[in-house]
Amino acid sequence: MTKKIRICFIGIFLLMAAGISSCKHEQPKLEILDTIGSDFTLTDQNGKAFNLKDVRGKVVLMFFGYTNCPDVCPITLAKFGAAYQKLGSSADEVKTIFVSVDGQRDTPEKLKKYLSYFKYNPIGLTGTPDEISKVVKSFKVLFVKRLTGNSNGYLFDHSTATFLIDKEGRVRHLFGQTDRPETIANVINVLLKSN
Amino acid sequence: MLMHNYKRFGMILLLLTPLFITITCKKKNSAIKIDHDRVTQSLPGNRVSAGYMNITNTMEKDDTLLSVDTDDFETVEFHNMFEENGVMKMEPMDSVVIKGGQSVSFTPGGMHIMLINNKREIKAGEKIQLNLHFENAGLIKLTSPVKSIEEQVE
Repeated sequence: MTKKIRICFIGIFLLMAAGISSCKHEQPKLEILDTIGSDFTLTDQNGKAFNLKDVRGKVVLMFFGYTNCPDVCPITLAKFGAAYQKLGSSADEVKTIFVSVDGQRDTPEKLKKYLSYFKYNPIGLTGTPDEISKVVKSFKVLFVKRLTGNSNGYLFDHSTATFLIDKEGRVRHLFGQTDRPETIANVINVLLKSN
Repeated sequence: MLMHNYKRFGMILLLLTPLFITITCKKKNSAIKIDHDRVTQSLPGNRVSAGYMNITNTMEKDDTLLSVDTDDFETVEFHNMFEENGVMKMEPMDSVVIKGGQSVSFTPGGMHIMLINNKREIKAGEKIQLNLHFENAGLIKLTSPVKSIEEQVE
């Protein structure tokens, strides 16, 4: 009988341990991903030089795209808007950077017009193909230009990861295309609390 | 004599009415059912939109969506999106096959209809007409609502 109770207790303990570990699993670890990214300089939507250092002290959501992208790019930017709403007052501590990989078409003026739609004032960055290419490589992002043969000219195969950068400029997390605004807001909150 | 002709014309019209009703209602009885159709608004300074919808083929025989056109855009293409090693790839498709008894969905972040070079600003809350050309079902005209980008965040 005592043996049975002991086995029961061990069983309950193991179940509890499994439960705790699975709960822990839901929290992102937010390790410092030091092999991804570094400071860089590009041109912002006002035509001024922008360095990643300019947003030290803010948590940054950084996404690579281009304005002629009809689907993933605007939806991702809208998703960030929804995440900002969920963050409430913490939203002031978060800045979004949209890096265009289409320096040829995305001039600062075009970026300014395009991003004016989003109420949370994202920073839009562009540059020469060489300048953009350096940033793309540093963040290990893949972009392949693909000619379409129509009047739109070309499209890009591109990485859809969004980089979460901490207040010291270090990449801490990568969001995927399927991550919902709630997830983005939750992970940002975890990062803000850990700072 | 003239009166008699009018009567005859009236009778012909009356007899033709069921046929006319059958023709105009053909879309509703079509083998192709379309729902959740919508087009995204244009963003400032930008001339592309995306079209999304579910297309169901209620027949046993496969059908093919050959093309889409609209008066509001210069070009319309089908794009297949798929993720490969963390990279989103976009592949233009010539046509889209809807197998008999099955559905095909054009969805945000997935396969979509790309509407290129709008001829006017496409605003949320408006409606635009899309002409879908099917191999078997022929032309299906849709009047689809324009939705904001925010409404595509699921």
